[in-house]
Amino acid sequence: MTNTQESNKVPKKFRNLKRSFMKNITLRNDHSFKSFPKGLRFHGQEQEEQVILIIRSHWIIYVPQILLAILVLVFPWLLGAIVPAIFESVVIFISLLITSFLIGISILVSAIVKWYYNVDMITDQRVVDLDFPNVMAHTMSETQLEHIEDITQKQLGLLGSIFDVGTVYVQTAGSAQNIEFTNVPRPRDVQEILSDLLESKEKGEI
Amino acid sequence: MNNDVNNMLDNLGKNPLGGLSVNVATLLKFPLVLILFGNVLFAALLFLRSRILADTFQSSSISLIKTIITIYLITTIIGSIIAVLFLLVG
Repeated sequence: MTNTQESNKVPKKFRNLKRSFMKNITLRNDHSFKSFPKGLRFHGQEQEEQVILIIRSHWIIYVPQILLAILVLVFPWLLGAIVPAIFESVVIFISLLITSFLIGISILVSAIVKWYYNVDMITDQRVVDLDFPNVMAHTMSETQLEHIEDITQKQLGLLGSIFDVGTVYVQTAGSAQNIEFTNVPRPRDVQEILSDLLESKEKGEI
Repeated sequence: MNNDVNNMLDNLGKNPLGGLSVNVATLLKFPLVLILFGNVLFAALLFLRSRILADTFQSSSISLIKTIITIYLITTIIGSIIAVLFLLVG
C-alpha cells in the first residue's frame, strides 16, 4: 500500500498533527505494527476513544519456538537413530510419531496465540499493554497519556540491529504503572510517535 | 559347598543383571501416556485462556485465532486418544 493510501486511513483529527507523526504512523504498516486498525476493541475502551497504533512482538522473537517445534517433529527418527529398538515395534513408533506431532503443534499454536495476545496499544487517551507470558497468566496494564513522564527505547544485540527490534519503556509519574513494549519492531518510531502524541495532547490538538 | 564357592568365583566380575532383558518399547509407554495427558491439559488451558483474552481484546482476525485454537484442541484430544489406544494395543 502506498503512503498516500495509508494517509487516507488516518482520521481527520490526526491529519493536522506533526509531519514526523504522520510519516511514522503511515510508513510500513504490517500485522506487528498497524496504525488505526479497524474492528479493534479492548476491555475498558471509551466510546470516543481512538486506537492510534497497535504493536506486537517482532516475528524473529518466535524463531526459537519454531525451531523447537521442528526438532520435536523429527524427534522419533532421532531417537530411532540412537535406540534402533524403537523401530522394531511399529505400534509404539506410530504412537511416538503422533505424540511428537501433537507436541510440535502445541508449540506452534502457543507461539501464534502468544504473538496475537501480546499486544501494545497507543490510543488518543492512554497506553495499554496486554501481556500473555504463559498459559496460566495474563496481565493488562494501562496508563493515561497525561501520566507519562519519560519514554526510552533500547535496542540490544545483533538481532536488534539487523531486524530493527527493541524495547520501549514508558515511565509514568507517581504510583502509576510503568509500561514496557517488549521486542517490538521500529522502537525509535514508536518512541517518536508517542512523543509527538504527548506534545499534541499538551497543546490540546487532540 | 565347594561348588557354591566355585560358582561364586566364576561369576566374579560378571554383570549380575546380564540375563535381564529390558524392552525399550515397554519403557516408553508410561512416559508417553503422561506426556499426552499433559499436552491435552495444556490445550484445554490454552483454549480457556484464549476465551478470557477474547473478551479483553479483539481485532478483525479474532475469528481466525478462535478457529485455530478450536481445531487444535479437537486434534489434540482425538490424536491423544488414538495414541493411547496404540500404546495399549502395542
